[in-house]
Amino acid sequence: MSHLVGWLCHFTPVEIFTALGYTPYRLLGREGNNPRAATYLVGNLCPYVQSCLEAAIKQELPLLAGVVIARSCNAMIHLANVWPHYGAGGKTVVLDVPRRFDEDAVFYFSQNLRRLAAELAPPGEQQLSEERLWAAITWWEEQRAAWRELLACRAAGEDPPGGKEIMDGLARWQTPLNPQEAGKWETVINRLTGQPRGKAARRPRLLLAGSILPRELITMVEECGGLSVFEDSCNGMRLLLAPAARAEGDPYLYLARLYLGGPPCPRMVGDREKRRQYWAAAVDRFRIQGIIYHVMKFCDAAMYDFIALKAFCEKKGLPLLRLDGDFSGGNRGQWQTRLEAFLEMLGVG
Amino acid sequence: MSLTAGVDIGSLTTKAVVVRDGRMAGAAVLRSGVDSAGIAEKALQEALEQAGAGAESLDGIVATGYGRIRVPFAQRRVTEITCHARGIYHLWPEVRTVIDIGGQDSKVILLDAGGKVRDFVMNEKCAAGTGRFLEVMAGALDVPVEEMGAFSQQAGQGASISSMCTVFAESEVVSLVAEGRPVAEIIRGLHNAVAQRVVAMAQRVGWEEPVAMTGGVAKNPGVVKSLEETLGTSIRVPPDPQIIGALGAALLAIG
Repeated sequence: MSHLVGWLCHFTPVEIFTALGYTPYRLLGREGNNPRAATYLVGNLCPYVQSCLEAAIKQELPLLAGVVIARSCNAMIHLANVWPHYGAGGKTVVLDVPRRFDEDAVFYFSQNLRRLAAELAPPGEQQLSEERLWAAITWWEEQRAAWRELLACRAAGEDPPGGKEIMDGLARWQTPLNPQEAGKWETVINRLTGQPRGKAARRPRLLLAGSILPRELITMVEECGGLSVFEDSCNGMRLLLAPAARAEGDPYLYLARLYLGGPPCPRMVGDREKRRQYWAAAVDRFRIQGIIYHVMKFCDAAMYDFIALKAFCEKKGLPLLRLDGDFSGGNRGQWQTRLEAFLEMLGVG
Repeated sequence: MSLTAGVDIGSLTTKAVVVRDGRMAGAAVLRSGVDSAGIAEKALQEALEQAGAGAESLDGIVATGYGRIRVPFAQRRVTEITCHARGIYHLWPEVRTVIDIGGQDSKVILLDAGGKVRDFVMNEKCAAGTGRFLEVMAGALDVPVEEMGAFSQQAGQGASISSMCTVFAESEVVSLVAEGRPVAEIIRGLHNAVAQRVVAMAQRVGWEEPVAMTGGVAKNPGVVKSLEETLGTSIRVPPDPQIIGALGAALLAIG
């Protein structure tokens, strides 16, 4: 029996998986077309979500004991509907996530997390003890703290790890194939810290944002002479940045507050001001010179988020480029001129 | 004395401009083809002949346009967005918005007072609002593309073209022809449709006056007129709008 449990949205508290003895494995999607998924999902739906289903149907995923699908956006709701029928085997557990951050939302989410722990528990397993959950919380917090330390170097350093290295590292860290691999998280982070670089000089420091940032985009940005120093996306650094203040006695309330209280994602419609403050802090701390926003096709949340970001950038006098993409890995031709022209605006070339 | 060249490989035409001491000395426009490097070399040769100079006396060459990576003899590659901005700034430093409609894309570029690109927007992965769109429609109407401008000016009003998708618009045009609608009105309607598409982009980026237009489609007075009516302002068109990207590239090659 597999000990891997799949997850998608960054509002999924992986601490619960660890406490139950599972290894969390993030479904990061796949490049290419999604003809099999198109049989079960409508065409005008998030290509990342479609690609996750495609990967499952094509049996490209490792054997999973189950998948936790956070119903955090419209596309995820559709995925949660079809996954039990056409996705990978194992349990499908659905997690509702509030769209705002206040005491009612925290309490509601904590109750959902308690239910998640019960539904995910292996057959015959006793109720998850608070001690085990707190131990898992501590273990994950240790990892996130190490990541934050690395990111602090990016904020201050003249020669920080680039976005491609960070995103590749994050992907490796989120997709361990067994508990031994998951336990070697320090190796992943140390590899990034110790890599020789020496190519950051005079490259414009960029914030890359969007619902999902495709690897293709980050690679292109850095090939063309930009340097990504902050990635604000579902698959970026957001999940590392939640403030960890352990005032709660109840681990579920703690987790609910931690996940809902982290950097707001575009779906947190009630937190627009908090999102603006988050951008402002990132721009100042990471000395951002320009922002590239990737709008995933059919992601309404990202489109509205872009409008708010545009207003923010106009106020700050910060150059902003919007690139639309479909997560297919075939967007290079569409982006090349825009990206190069944007970098020329910032003085590259 | 400085002698530089700019080569602009577009999807439909390849342009070369030679600049001597900051002034245009020669220019050539050839049809693009599969042998991008060969055509670029030929265009440059023609422009050099006009300038009365040889390739050995060039101080620098900048390549631009869709095929800029396919010019092996260029020292630098710069996007057409920066090059069109530079070319127009050279002609009219007071211009703040450039509308460039080429064969496969359309762009709206905002310039600052120093001629630098301040912001820009390009069309989506779609032929709508481009020269290619007009070429397909010209084919459907059996009218030479270069005569569309004159035709449209004979029409008192434009036919309503509701679809901007090249494929759907073509069938709409065929239906209008079948209904007996005058060709001039259909062409004017097509120009209006292109203008609406481009003006939507211009509004997205926050266009400012004065406005200039570059690219091959600027040679079509019908499109320029529709754009002027939709924007509500006059548009400056250089004598040869097709070569402005290459001109900008040649100017950027000065260093």
